[in-house]
Amino acid sequence: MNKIRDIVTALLLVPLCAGASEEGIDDRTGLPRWDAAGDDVRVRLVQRLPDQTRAFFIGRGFNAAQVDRIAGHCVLQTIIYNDGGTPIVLDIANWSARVDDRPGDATVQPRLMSDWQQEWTEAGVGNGPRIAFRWALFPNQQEFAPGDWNMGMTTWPVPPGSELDVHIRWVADGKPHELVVDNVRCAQAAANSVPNQ
Amino acid sequence: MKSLFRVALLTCLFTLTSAYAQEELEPALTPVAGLPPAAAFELKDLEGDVHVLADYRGRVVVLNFWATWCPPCRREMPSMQRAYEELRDHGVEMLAVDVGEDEETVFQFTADYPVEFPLLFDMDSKVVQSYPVKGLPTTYIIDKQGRIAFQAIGGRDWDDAALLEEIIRLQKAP
Repeated sequence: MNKIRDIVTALLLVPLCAGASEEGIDDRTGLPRWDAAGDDVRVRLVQRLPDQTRAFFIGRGFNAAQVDRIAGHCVLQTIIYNDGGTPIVLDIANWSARVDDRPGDATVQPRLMSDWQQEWTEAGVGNGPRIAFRWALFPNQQEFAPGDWNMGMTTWPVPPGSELDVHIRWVADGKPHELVVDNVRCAQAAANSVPNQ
Repeated sequence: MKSLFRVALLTCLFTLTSAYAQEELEPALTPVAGLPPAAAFELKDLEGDVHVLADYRGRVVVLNFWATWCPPCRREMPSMQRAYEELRDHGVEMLAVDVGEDEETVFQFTADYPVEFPLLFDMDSKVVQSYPVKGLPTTYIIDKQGRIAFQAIGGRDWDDAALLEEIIRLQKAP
């Protein structure tokens, strides 16, 4: 009986490991990064410092208050690879994250490009900064053919310093898939605001 | 039983390490169904010369959309230059359209990433929006009839032999 239990446990181990996430240091930025892979998709989330985000957007024409709004979110550099032989369809409106291991429904969704652009319109942000913002964020909807990949920032409406279990979802061959990147730590805030949504 | 666990654990470790060790970019180009016409444009380069896409009819064009702040765009630039050195001898043109930045920014960039192919400016982002680009970099291979034959989303190693061969084959096609 024990042998059967051990065999079943061993067989379960491989698929479980294939979906596990791994923490390391991003060799380009020296910041923490988290990797996960499964169902022919690889995901890498890289921590971004609030000041790093401020500097990036100040350099592209946003003012101090506006960059504080962005940097008040948990900003993650998000990289996704389609390693399989089937196109995948991503819509980040379907992604979510559990925050600080809170039970139940304590999940958040990444802030969408349309919400940001509405805010920038109301704030009178110029065309140049808005173009830079549009291309710096991870595309909200995209289809990746085999071999395609992309990177961009995702912005999560949680305070800096939060810990997230990020659920990345996509569709391949008409079927939904999900990969969970565990224990992703948002950078601590040096100062400044917390997003109000 | 111990050996079974060992195999499972080794497989698990291999799965994780092989997935993340894969830093080489795939040379894949994706054929574009229906060969849609490439949107027309006229854009200036760093020297102020105007490039009209229609003027390249009869030659394959590698049309790349990029920005200086985009890490995969920077990463693929040197391989694009190497590919250009090979492709221009076959009559293929390469155009890299910077999205939303000015001449000074791109000029500074070329000090670190010198390239010989034209760098064009789409400062108001109108041209990139006339293509189905969702993220940077995105590259289209336009055939001699001005149609989009292939696309590549994300960076590529453009001097990969198989990839070059695909583009040269398109140039040689009637």
